[in-house]
Amino acid sequence: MPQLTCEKLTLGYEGKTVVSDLSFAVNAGEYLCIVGENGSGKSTLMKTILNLKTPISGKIVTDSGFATTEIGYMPQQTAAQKDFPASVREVVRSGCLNRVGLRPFFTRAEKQLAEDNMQKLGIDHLAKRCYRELSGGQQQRVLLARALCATRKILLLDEPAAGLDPNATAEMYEVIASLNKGGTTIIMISHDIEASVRYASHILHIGKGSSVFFGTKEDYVDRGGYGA
Amino acid sequence: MKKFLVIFIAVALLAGCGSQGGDTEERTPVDIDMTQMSVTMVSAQAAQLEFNPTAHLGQVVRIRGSHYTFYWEMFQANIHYIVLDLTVGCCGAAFEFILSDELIETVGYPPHGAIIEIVGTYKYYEVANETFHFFAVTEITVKE
Amino acid sequence: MTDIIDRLAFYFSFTFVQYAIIVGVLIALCSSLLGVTLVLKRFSFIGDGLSHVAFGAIAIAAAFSLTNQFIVVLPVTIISAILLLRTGQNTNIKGDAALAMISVSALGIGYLILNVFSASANLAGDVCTALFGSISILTLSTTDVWLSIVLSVLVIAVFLLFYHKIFSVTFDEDFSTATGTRAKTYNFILAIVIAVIISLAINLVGALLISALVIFPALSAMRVFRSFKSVTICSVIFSMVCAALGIVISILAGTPVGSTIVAVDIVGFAIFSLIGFIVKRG
Repeated sequence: MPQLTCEKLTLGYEGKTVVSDLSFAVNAGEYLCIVGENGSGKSTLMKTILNLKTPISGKIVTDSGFATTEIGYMPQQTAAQKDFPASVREVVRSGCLNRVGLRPFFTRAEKQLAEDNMQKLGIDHLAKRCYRELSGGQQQRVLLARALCATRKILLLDEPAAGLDPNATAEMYEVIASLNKGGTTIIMISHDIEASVRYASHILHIGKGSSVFFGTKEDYVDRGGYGA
Repeated sequence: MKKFLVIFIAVALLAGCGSQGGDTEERTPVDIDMTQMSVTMVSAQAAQLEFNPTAHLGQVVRIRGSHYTFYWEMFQANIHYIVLDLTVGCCGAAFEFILSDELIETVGYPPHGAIIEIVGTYKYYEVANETFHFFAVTEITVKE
Repeated sequence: MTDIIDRLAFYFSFTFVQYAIIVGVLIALCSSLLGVTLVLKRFSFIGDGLSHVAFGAIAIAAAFSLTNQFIVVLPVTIISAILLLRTGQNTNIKGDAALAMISVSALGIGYLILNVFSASANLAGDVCTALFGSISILTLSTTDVWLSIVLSVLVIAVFLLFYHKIFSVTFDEDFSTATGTRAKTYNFILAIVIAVIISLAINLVGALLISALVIFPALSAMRVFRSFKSVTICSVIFSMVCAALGIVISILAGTPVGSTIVAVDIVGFAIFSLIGFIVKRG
């Protein structure tokens, strides 16, 4: 059974329908890129999958392997966050909160998990640094480490390379690709069609006016890269 | 921590410049000497006397203020108040006082509007089922 | 110097001064704890608006000649806080204008009610005290003190128990919700705690100056410290010291308590900004 299935989803906000009758499924270990023009509903879709928004109709089914709290999420940064006084370690550890329940402290295992994830993403030397002093690329990696603390199974990323220079962007995509190779399912919103085609296994293209393409990247390329 | 200590000492010194030092003249010992307090403390103490009177009954207090007197038709008597000039509490405070018989004979009540300093014991009397608090004055000095 | 110490010792012999320091420091502690979250969530103006609503509640309590205003002020402030913080994100202009409307209406109508209905002999004084807290902290009853202690302990307990969740919800509400933290619940808890603190803090600094207690400690700490934990701890210590200093200075120098505390906070902020500036350069 696929890890995540969306059945006939109709999404909208502020009274407008943005996408209707969207259906697709993601299997474990796949790498899905969601592309499309601005305002086509990509972020809305991601927020709906994460239960941050309710769909107008349709449903989302996850296999019994994980609860919705085991989804790792890397949202786009807000301006307020870029200026937040928190150490990298504090931010990454907050990813473990979904296992903590009512306990007011982190266990040693959870703290170790945070350290491991920081190491995996090459930011362990920044653990004590203040988040707001980091470069854009470093901040994104901190957020990614935090997402990893929430899960190993499936990661949802909203434009992880937004605002990064070409080098940092390339590094970010490489890191995500290696996570995928390690078995983590990736669902990523991206503006970068070229990178999407390069790294993804599947593409979901949501165009204006509800023209939707879902399939393997090979199919996507064959069709001439819809609106690319 | 050091910063706080430095600031504290600096400000305290400045504050000290404003407040009065101890008086050298002989003074009757009292329980509460409101003439030796900053105006913030006087306001607070006056509020305590007014709203929590039972806690202060029997205490001897020294107060400075101005004398305000009028003739109350209903009781056919002169009523005397000492009015405190308070800027901090956003309001004034006034306490009724009654001179001891001895003082009435020797000194008498001062003129209306005079600045006075009194030493009195906080007491109460009841009239027509109402309690009125006042100072039974044993010492009075007219300042101006 | 000994003169000042003597005088202070004399003042400290008064129960109402001891009460003032205890409650003042506790209120400062609680408001600075919440201040960090409020400031980082960009909710500072909500604290201000709520304090105006609390003033309106005081007016209503006075109109009904209630001796214990807390009975009215606390529930009204809590309900308003819940309504205002319901959304968690306050970015739309409509929300901003709505808050301003509520805030200024509470102030205006509150004053109107006081003028029309109050049987108080000294209306201007009552209003002034409610707005600026001149000496109200120095006129607390034992009940007031116990109530403040109990509520403060509750606030601190809530903060300690939910510290990590409060951090997560403050830093990134979307992420928290997505990974299962019930952000809405924590916003709800925060709203109640803020309302409780504001109801208490009116006694210390008055409705118009409460924002200072909430904002200055957090901002000062953020100038110098770099982790959420150290910012929170510094904010608390800063606030407690400034409150204690402010009360002490005001009773020594004969100034109104609330404004003096705010003045000390401002000086503290300036000092910390300077330290932060020097540290960054060096």
